Amino acid sequence: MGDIQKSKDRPLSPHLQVYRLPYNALMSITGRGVGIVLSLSLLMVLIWFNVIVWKPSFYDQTMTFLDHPLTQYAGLAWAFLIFFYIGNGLRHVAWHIGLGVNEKAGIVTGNIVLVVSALLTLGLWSALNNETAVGVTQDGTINSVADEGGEDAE
Amino acid sequence: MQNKSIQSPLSKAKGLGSAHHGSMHSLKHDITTLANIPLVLWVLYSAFMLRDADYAEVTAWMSHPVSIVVAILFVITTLKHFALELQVVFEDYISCLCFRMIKIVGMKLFFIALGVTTIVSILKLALSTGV
Repeated sequence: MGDIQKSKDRPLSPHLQVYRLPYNALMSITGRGVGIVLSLSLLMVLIWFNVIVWKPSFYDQTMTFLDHPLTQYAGLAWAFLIFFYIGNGLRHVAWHIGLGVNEKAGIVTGNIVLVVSALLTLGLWSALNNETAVGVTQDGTINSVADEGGEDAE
Repeated sequence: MQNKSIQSPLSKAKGLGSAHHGSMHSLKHDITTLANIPLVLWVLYSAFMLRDADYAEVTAWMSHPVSIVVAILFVITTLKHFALELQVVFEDYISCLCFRMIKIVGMKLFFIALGVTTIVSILKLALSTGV
């Protein structure tokens, strides 16, 4: 019995549950998680596209779903994941040809990818906001009939 | 561990090493990564331009020859990329060999079916108006 008590005091091996992941390991597993999320979302988008093509009446339901604010925030988060995944993919390609394969370069390029992805997402967000604010008046002559018709129908 | 089998240790060790397909898998993954960047950006740009469009405007956009070609390339290379990606995930996290192979083969068959279906849909949408 004494042996069992002694063994409890022994240090654990660096198991995932007690081990704080260093930056590069965290980025690596995040990249894989993002890859899984994006692959599932690609399947969803493609299936959705197929449904719309063969059942065009589904298009209006889709557009009202996409107009919902929650969907648009989710779409921005999705765009961030896409930008992040592209940046991370470029990092992998660089590593495979021997560029930046060390801890410091991993941290620097990882931070660059995070910052650039955030900036691109912010840019997309402001572009969406500006276009809807300004575009209605600019395109009013072209799109006014379609826009008013859409609003009346809702 | 005593060697009770009639098989020699050398013949046991043979065939347990690398299958020599790993580097090609990695290379394909990198090529699809690079090829996907302009294609994904085009899809994002299209979605951005079409965010308020009605069905007729989407059909008109998709009927453009550039749209048809890029959309089909997008479907092929993204599905290829994620098939390679998910194959590695399955290989890393599914320890049961039988279940792992079922998942990988099933995933690839599903991806091929979805890809072909989507290409047919792209052509149907694009050609319905007459290019």
